[in-house]
Amino acid sequence: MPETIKKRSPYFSTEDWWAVWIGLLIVFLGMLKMGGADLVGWAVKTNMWADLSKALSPVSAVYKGLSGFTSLILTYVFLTAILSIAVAIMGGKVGRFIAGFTVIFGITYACWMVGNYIHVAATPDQYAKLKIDWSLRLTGEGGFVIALLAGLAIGNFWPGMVDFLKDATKPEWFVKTAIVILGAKVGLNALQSTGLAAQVVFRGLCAIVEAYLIYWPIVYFIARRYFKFTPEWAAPLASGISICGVSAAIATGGAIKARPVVPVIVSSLVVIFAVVELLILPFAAQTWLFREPMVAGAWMGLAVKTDGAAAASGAVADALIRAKAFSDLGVKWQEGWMLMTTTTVKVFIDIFIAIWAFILAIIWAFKIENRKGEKISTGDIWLRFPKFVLGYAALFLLIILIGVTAGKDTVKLMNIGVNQADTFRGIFFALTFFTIGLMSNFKRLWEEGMGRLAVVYLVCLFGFIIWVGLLISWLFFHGITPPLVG
Amino acid sequence: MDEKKTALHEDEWFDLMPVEKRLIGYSLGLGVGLLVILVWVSHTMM
Repeated sequence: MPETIKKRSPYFSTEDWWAVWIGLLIVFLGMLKMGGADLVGWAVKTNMWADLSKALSPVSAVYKGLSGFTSLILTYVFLTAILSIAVAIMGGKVGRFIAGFTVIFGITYACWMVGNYIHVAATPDQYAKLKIDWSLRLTGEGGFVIALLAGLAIGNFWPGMVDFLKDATKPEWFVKTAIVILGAKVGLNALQSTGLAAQVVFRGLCAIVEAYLIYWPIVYFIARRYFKFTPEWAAPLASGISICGVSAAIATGGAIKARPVVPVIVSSLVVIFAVVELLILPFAAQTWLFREPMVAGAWMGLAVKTDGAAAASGAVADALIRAKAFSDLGVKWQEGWMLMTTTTVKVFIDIFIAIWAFILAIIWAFKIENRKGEKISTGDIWLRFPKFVLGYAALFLLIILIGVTAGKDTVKLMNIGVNQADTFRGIFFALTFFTIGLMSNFKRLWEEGMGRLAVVYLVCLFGFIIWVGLLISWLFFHGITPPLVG
Repeated sequence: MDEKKTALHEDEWFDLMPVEKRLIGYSLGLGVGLLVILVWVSHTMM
């Protein structure tokens, strides 16, 4: 077995790389629309429904002969096939993955359909058209929250099921794939408003540099001085709380050569707190930041740890704020700009993890632990670099390139194809929500004696990280709004 | 779980070393300094 792993190409041995390949495959299939082929139009789309039989349909009118249910089955078969091939090549247990994924897909999709029921999803501007007079106003993205709650219920009360599903419980993989696909969608948005896209990228980079440099030393100082943690614990904890959760804690743990158990414990805390943030912050943003949508988007990226929970928070905040802005301000902003801001911030965070881990590795090796004679290569940065970011950037640039060089008709077809492929992003996001819930066992926190770690996390996260993140987001993004629809 | 409990409690605490204080100071100083510059740049040049 170890020899097999050694022989496997690094490009096909991690979920990080497979997120790139699967994301590219789906978007390229969609882009074949430019050549007249409609290869992903059969994918299932979830509609807002009052009559359950109308909840599902194929995303493309070309496949209107297909029933919604057939479309759902085709989508399930397609996803199961490509994910299983990846699992097989990575050396995973394919049978257990398929069994688990089947259940996860089924429950996730059921939750998403419930989330699209008119009395759950409809916003006030739609009441007259739908002939209803109330709803929870959660928008279709409310289905994500329902999937999360279902995952939390199973994760905390049905350990046998959690164990059965564990080989397919892969929120990081799902969200990375979704983010790669999102690169194409963001490219489309950027084509329509290049000036705004450039601002989001520049300001997102600024916000991240600031968050890194301010959050990390404060959390490290508090953990070391007031909670009496050693550097081995304080550094992964500071990275996990202040930067980007699981990946940062693991990268930092590796960089300072902490025992493997350290980042594992920190990561479990990160996931649990990210879920709490995910349940609270998008709704807080809707209530208090609906006039400053881009501030809200950046805030989700700076405050909510883990890629999955942050992107999920951005998606929910995007939908909630657009709905409130329309009902309270009468403005209809284009979809996706807040989410783009969140993911831009998150992508920079993921890039900076590698750089920060490299800096810490040098300081720890030569100053703190005095491992003189040890060499740290710049190749370490590449090893720790999140590869899915490459897929995101490649698709973003490709769409821009085609958009500025191709004819109007070709761009129109590309737009249709990418939007069809984007259906899969929604599905991967929903899968992320459900599996984050599955992994979040609140009891574990206490059973593992992590009270002191949890208190540091609680104090730092709610004491200043959320608020400093809000301040930084405000400084860089206030006054900027998404383009109007139409 | 036992392994985690052991790992959590076995290390002995010692106060911040000078190099750690420098890391904290430089990072925070750079962060606050750059904040002023980047906010100015983003609002005047972008």
